[in-house]
Amino acid sequence: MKRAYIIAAGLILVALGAGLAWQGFTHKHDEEIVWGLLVPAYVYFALMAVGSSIVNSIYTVFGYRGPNDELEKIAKLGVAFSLSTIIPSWVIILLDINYPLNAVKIFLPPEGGIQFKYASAISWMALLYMFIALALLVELVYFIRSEVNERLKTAKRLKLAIALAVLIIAVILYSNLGQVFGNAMAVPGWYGPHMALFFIASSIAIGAAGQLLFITLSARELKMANFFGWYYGRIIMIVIPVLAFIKGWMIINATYNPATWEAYKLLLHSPLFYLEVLLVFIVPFTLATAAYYKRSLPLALIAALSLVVGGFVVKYNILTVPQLATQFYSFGEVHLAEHYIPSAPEVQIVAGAVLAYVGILMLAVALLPLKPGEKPRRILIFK
Amino acid sequence: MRPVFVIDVNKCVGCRACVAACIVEHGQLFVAAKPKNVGLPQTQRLRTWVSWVEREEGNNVSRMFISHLCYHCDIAYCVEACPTGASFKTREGIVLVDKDKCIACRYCMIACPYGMRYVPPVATFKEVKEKPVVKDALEGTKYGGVMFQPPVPNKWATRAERVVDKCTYCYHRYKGDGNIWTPACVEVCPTGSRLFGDLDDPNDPVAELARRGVAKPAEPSKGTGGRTLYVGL
Repeated sequence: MKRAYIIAAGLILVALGAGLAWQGFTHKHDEEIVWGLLVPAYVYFALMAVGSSIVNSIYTVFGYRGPNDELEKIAKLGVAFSLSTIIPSWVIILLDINYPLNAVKIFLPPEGGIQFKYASAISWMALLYMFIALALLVELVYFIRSEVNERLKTAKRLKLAIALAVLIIAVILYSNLGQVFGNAMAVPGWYGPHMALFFIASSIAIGAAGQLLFITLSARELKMANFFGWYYGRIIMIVIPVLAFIKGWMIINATYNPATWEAYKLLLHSPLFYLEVLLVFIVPFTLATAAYYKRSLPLALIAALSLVVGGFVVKYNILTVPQLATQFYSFGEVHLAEHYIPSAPEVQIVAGAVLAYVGILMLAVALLPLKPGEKPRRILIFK
Repeated sequence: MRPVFVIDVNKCVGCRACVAACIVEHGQLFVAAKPKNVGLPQTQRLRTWVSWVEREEGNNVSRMFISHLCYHCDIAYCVEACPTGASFKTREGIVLVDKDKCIACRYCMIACPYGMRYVPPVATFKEVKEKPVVKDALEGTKYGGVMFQPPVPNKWATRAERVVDKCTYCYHRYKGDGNIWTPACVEVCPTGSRLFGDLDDPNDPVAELARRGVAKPAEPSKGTGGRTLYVGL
C-alpha cells in the first residue's frame, strides 16, 4: 500500500513538474544574457549525475566494498540515482533551446542523412549524454538482473567492463563540458583549461551529496547510518579542499588577465559568492569532517544538503556572472549585458524540472528492485 | 571572388543610415531610440550598429563613430561551435546562418569574440502592429507617411523566430555570376565610410586599401582574421 502511495505521489509530481516546465517554456522570452538560468541548472544536474557515477566507481571499478559489503548493497541505488539525475538536465537543456525537437538536427540534418560536427563541443555533449545514459542503463540492468541470474553475478569481467565504460565516458564528458565553456574566447571569465577541473571536483562533491540524501531517504531500513556518515563524510571532506584549491587558483590566475579579472571582480563583489563560500566550503567541510570522525549520519546529511544547495549557487555564479563583465575592444569598453535576473518562465522551467525529478526518483524507488536482495518483478526489461 | 568590407572611421558621421537600410533590407523592426549609443550588434539586436564613442584626454573631448558588423572571420569560431552546421562559410568566405538548421543553442553567440551575433526580439506582424511606435507610424500613413515595405523574400532575411541572426554582407544580392555586389548599408552611406570590394580584383580600389595595409582588422590580437577591415581605428 505504501508503495502505491509513493507511485501515485511520484506520478503527480512528474505531471505537475512537466506542466510547470511547459508553462515556463511557452512563455519563455529572450534574456539579457546569452545563457541564462537554464544553462547553470542543466550543468548542475549533469554534473550531479556524472559525479554520482564517479562515486559509484569506487565500488564498481576500484573494488572497494566497505567494511561489511555496504557499497555492494547500495550499488543499484547509486546507479539509479545517476541515471535519474540525467533526466532533468536533458529536460532543462531541451527547453533552453527554443525548438526542443530540433535538437535531432545535431545528427539528422533537414537535407537528410546523418552528420556529426566533431569540431563542435555541443555535438560531443549530445553524443556523450546519450552514451552515459545508455551505459548507466546497461549497468543498472546488469545489477538488477544479476540478483536472479547466477551467470551474470559471476561475470566479473563484464561487470568491470560496463563500470569502466561508465567511468571513461564520465571523464570524457567532464572534459568536454569544461571545453564548452573553456573554449569560449568571448567570455574571458570562462576561457582556459580550469573549467574542466573545476567541474570534476565540483561534480564529485554534489554527486556524493545528492547520492547520500537519496539513499538515506529511500532506504532507511538499511541500517547503515554509521557507515553512511563515515563514508560520505570522508568523500566530502576530501573533495572540498580540492575544490577550494581549484577555485583559489581560478581567482589567482584571473588577476593576471584584465579581461578575466573584470569577471572575477563582479563575482567577488556578488553576495552570492559569499553564500557559495559558506554553503560549499565552510559548512560542508566542517560538518563532513565531524561526520567522518564521529560516524554521524545527521551531520553528513546537513553537509550534503548544504552542498546540494550551494552546488547550484556555484554553477549559477560561475556561468552567469562572467557574461555581465565589461568587454574590452580596440574602440573602447562594452557591456554585453547590464544586469541579469532570472525571468519567471526560466524559474518555472527549473522548478518544473526539479519537481519532475523528485517524482522520477520516487518512481525509481517504488518500481525498481533497488534494495539489497530485492528481486525484479515489475518492469519488463528488468525481469 | 573574395569580398572585403572596409570601414573608414574618419569618414563616418554617425548618421546610422546604414543601420536603417539594413533593417529595411532584412525586415527587422526599427526602434530608433536605443538605450545606449555604445553597443554591438548583440546588445542592440541588430545586424549592424554604429557606436558613438566619446573620449576625453585632458581638455580634448572627441567623439568617434564606429561601425560594427560581422567580421566574417577567416578562423570562424562560430562555425566551429555550431553543432548542426547551421553556421557555415560560403565559397566566397562569407559566414551565414541557415535558419532552417539553427536550433538556437546560442553557442555561436558565446563563441563569437566580437558580439556580432544576436537573437532577434520575436514579434509577429500582428504583435508589431500593436507596438505604440508602429501604431503611430501606421496612423501617419493616412497623412502621407510611408511604412517600410516588407523585405525582398530571401533565405537570409531576419525571421520572427528565435533563431540566431547576423550580418550577411547582403549575400542575397549576389547573383552568383562572380561579380561583386553592393550591400544595402554601403549603398546608402552618404560619406563613403562603408566600402565593399573584391580582394581577387587587382583593380579594385577597396581591395587595394586592404592590400596596402591601410585597412586592418579591428582586433588583430584575437587572431581570427576576417573580411571586415577598418581604416583609422
